[in-house]
Amino acid sequence: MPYSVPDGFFDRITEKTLDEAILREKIRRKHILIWRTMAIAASLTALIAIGYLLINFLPPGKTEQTAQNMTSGLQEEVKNEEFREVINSMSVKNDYDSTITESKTVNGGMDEEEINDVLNSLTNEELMELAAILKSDMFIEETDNILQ
Amino acid sequence: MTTKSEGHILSLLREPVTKEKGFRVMMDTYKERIYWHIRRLVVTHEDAQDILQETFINAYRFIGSFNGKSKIYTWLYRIATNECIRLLRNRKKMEQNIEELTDKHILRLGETDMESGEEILVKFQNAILRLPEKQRLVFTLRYYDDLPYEEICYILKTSVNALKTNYHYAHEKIKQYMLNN
Repeated sequence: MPYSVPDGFFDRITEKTLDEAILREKIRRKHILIWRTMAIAASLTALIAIGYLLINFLPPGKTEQTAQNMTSGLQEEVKNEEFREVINSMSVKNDYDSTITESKTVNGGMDEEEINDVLNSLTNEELMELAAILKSDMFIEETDNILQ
Repeated sequence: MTTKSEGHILSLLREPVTKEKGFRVMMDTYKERIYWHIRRLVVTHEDAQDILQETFINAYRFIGSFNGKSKIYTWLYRIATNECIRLLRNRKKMEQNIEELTDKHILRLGETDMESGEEILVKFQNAILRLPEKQRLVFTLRYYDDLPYEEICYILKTSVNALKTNYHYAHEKIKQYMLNN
């Protein structure tokens, strides 16, 4: 080869390179440690800063207004509920009234004579059965009470 | 893929307690071979020394990522070659003229101490330095280091066919230079 090398170069280069490699590894580890510490410190600072800004720099009126809006909304809901209940109760009453009217109409539609004719045409056994039905049927009794 | 001694070096390097011992063994085994590979590419001793140190320092740092699929010396060749390419490209950027850089390399080659009868070797080196970067790398690795194409593929990240073509062109150009000068 047309190249020359200084005397003892190959004897010294191993230790020299190893020392340099160890030194660089130490520096690299130190840098990693510093970067990690800085990253943690920066994250904590950012969190504290955000918290501080939220607590101290939010306009106080905004919170009250938000609370009022929420309350008025609730009140409206309650009103709507009450209105619905009133409407429901009214419809129930109407149903109830119409039932009574219907029953009255049924009863009022037959004369006493007609009823007597029907009863006369019935046999004793049939009358006994009707009496039994009257005793056992609770709704007939209830209707009587309503009519009274 | 690795030989028994390479396996021993690897096991030493991978244990934190024996890492320094492993490094010494690795460097004593391969430093001369790697140094001459670098020297042929960068010409001056100072550059070759710097790159040799960088190569082994990188190997020390990244030994954990070495998977053992190739030989250690192939891996070291790859690191060294990449470092050489980086240096040469930085120099090219600074010089802005490739021919100027080649002339500087040739001038430096002429400045080195040489024994009598080595003129033909200097001429041969001149011919190699005049080659394009890729052809010079392939020729050096194949001719001086006698590496198989498969290993040169791993070092230079190219296909065998491309390597063969580059080697053929390099061979022809050197032959022409030696005959004409």
